[in-house]
Parts: sequence; C-alpha cells; structure tokens
Amino acid sequence: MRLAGFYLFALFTGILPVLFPDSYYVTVVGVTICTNVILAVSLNLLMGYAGQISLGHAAFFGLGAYASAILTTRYGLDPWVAMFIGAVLVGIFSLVLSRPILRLKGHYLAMATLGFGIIIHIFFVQMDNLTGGPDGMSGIPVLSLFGIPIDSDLKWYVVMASAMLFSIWLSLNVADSREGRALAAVHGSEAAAQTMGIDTARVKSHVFVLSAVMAAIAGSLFAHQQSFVSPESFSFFFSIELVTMVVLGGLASTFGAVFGAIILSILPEILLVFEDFEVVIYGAILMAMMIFLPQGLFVTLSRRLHCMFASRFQRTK
Amino acid sequence: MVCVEVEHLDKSFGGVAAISDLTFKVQEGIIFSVIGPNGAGKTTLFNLLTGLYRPSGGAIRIKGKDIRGLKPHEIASLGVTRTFQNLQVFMNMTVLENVMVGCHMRSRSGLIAGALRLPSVLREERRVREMAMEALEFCDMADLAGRDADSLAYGLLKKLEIARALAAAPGLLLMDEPAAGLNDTETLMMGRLIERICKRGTTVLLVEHNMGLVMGISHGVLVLNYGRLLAQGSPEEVQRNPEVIAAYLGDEG
Repeated sequence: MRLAGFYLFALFTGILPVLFPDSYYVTVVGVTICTNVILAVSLNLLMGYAGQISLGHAAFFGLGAYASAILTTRYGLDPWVAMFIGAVLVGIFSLVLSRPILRLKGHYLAMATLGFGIIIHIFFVQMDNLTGGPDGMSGIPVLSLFGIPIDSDLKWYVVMASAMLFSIWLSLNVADSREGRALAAVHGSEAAAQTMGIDTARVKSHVFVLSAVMAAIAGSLFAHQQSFVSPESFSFFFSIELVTMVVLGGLASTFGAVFGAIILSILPEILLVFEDFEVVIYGAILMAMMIFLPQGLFVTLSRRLHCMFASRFQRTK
Repeated sequence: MVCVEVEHLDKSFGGVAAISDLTFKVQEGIIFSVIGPNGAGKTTLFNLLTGLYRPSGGAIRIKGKDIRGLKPHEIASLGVTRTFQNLQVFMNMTVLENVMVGCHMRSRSGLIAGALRLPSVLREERRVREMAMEALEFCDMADLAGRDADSLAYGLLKKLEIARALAAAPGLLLMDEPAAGLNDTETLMMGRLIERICKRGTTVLLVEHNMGLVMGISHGVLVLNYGRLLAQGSPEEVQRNPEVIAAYLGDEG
C-alpha cells in the first residue's frame, strides 16, 4: 500500500518499451528522462526533504561522469570498478564539503553551492590533459552487464529505467525512515529538531553525501551511455534546470521530482514544432505553472484529486 | 536527588543582562514553576538550559553533569526535552510523524539502512510507531494520529508538542507557557496532563503566566524579575511575599 504509486509507475515504465520498442520517444528521450529523474530525485532528498537548496548539483553528476571517463579511457579500468571508485571519491569529497557548506542557510547556501558548481565546471574546462578540456572526452567503453554489452537504445532504456526505479524506491524509503523524518524535522523547525536530540549538522551532511553519490552514479551511467562527455552537460544551467524540475513537480515529494523531471525533459521535444518560439513558450509554460500551481504540479494535482474523492465519498455516505 | 542545579548564571545580549547571578536547584520528580513579568528572562533561562543559548557566565548542571559547551542535541541526549512558547510543531508532517521524531533518541537506524529498508529497520519502525502511539494516547490524541499537523487547532498543537516531547521519554521536561491561548476548560485539562506527566516520573519545569494553574499544581515556584531571582519557595510562600506582590502589581499597590 505504501508503495502503490511506485508499483504503478514501475509497471508503466516496464510496459512502454514492450508497446513501442522502436519509438524515439521511449528509447532515446526515455533514457534522458530516466537520467534526469535520478538527478531530480537525488536533489529532492536534499532540497525537498531537508530544505537545503543546492545550485551545484550538476557538479556531482559531472564528477561521476568524468571519473568514469578518465578511469576507463586513461587507466583502462573496468567500467564498474571505475563507477565504484567515482562514487566513493564523490562520497568523500561531498562529506568533506558538507560540513562547512551546510552551516550556511538560505541565500548564502545557494551562493556557496552555485560557486562550487562553477568551480567544478571550470575545472572540467581547464584541466585539458586530464579532462580533454572544452572538447571533452570520447571513446568511453561500452558498459556490460552479466556479460551482455549494453549497446542499443533499448538495452540502455532497460538499464536506466532500472536505475531510476531503484533511486525512486530509495527515496521513498528515506521519507519513511528515522533519518528521513529527522530531515523533515530540520526543514520544519531546526530548533525543535535539535531539542528532540537530532544532530542537525550530521543528518544534513548524511543526506548531502547520499544525494551527491546518487548523482555521481547517474553521471557514470550517462558517460557510458553517451560514450562521450564534455563540460557543457554539467554547467550551471543544468543545475538550475534540476532545481526547476524539483520545484515544478512539488517540493518534498519524490513523485513530484519524478514528474517535474519528466515534464522538463519532454517539453523541449514537444515544443520543437514551434521552432523559433520554442524557448519563449517553454519559459511561458514554466511561469504559468508556478503562478497557478505554486505548490508544484504533482503535489497540487494530487491534493485536488484527493479532496475531490474525499468529498464525493462523504456525499455517498 | 537534584535534577537541575543552576549556579551564578549570567546571560547578556550585547551588554543587556537578560539573566544575572541566578542560582537555584530543582529536586527530581516535582513540578517546578518559573514565573515573572514579561521580559523577566524566563524563556532565556529555558534556552540556556536546552543549549540554544550559551551562558555568559556561571554553571548549569543537569543530573550532576555540567552542560557548558554541549550542543542542544547533546543536552537532549541527557533526557531533557522541551515545548516552545511559539509553537515549533513540524507542520510538514502528520501528527504521528511529529511524535515519531520525538523517538529519535530511542532508535538507531541510519540513512543507508533506512533507504534500503533493511529488516532491522522494519522492526525498529514498528517499535517507534508503538512508542509514538503510546505518547499520543497519553495525551488523548491517538485518534488524530493520521491527520496533517497543519490541520490541527491551536490547543491540539500545544498537546502535540507535549506528546512529541514525551515520546523521547525525558527525565526532565521544560514547558514554555503550555496554557497560553487556552480557554479555562483546556487549561484545567492541561494542568491534569502536567500532573500525570510528573506522576510518570518526569521532572517538569514550567514557565507559565496563568497563576491559577501555577499555584494549583507546582511543588516549587521561582520568581524572576529583570533576570534576577526575586523569590523562591512553595506556592503559598511566594504568594505571600511582598516583593512578589509589588513586582506584579506595582510598588504603589
């Protein structure tokens, strides 16, 4: 019952490629959507649950991607080993970073994470002999799973959809756990959380690391799927887009982040028919959504549906 | 047994003394009230006792342990919880979840175990849920467990804060104006609730303006005025003290 929505969503994700195995929207756009959903869900752990904004989430995504790219092409490591090392390095890095950065609040935290994201991006661009500079790195080897090379769009869909479902499951579990409630408590009232015995610095730092490691793993998968990485994919603008996904869907709701990511990934594809006006219409839709549905698309709609059913149920009683 | 020991406590904010040279003791297992006019330093005292403020001078010992330099969550782990004058309910959660947060110190599982929902986590969740329901039942709120906290009326929110604090099984509970904004019947019920909390073995430190309530249930009363100790004793002694009467009614009275 707790995971009813999750099973429904998993079923939907599973059926799509069976019904439309050759559709561009499923196997190509679908993979992008899955990547974005993982990133939005991981960012939501920090932003939505713990109430700590991050304008530098794309940096962790990029660090994971570059770790895989560098370790596999330059050092010839197995992709899975590289992914693991990348995740551990990002974990340690984010843990060290978390203590000083999470002492900041609100606008100051936004500024600090923004600065961090920009520094990492500059690092990707400038360290030519390690990262390939602005041209990026190509020739990232194919990932294989149980001896099967993941070399087609459809296979990538299966891998990324599984990773996405796993991350959603993790996120839903966190919401219903001791530390998840502690995070929500920090969000609700930090003073009250402390007097309930919650080490707020510690739980915030934990979720910061979890969120960063999830983004790093998504980055590793992204690098192998694209077989190419360049700094462009991990810029400040992508960080902002991720924040928009979380806010658009509705803060503090895992499925809010999921729907926000889906909409922001599909919208540009649909709007392609408007050619020159694409960006204008994209912006207008975002503005309209935030004005009319300030709590976020998913959260507002699910509340309205809930109220509708509840009142109808009472009338029939 | 002495529960709280305060010695020569000072706290000033930019040169303005909020608490000066305050010394008192609270025995274990009693209801001890701190009263005084607005601005007397009562809430400041609570914030010092829970570590939200750092003392400028003096010492505080809780159950014999010096709490100087301890962080709020470390003081909480000594079995000290509180309620707030301006409600600090977690409005983003349900009633039950609020109280489950109160069980934080009585449970162990970490973020990764929780994210993977290991069997040990499931067992602990069930236990935490039971402990939280027990605290809600104690406050007669069990039927509201599933409601969103932000849908509750004021009086119930006050009780919810108490339930949340009790879920931590505290040895010492600090209550900051639990009856503020309550009507007469609700105040009466609040008094009974506080007495039941004390009977459970929890020492209660109470800041309250409702004198009927304070004099009715307290075993000891401390009067603060301008951050200084004005009088201390049983409710009867304090009520007869001419200095207390002067502070409350004005010198000319």
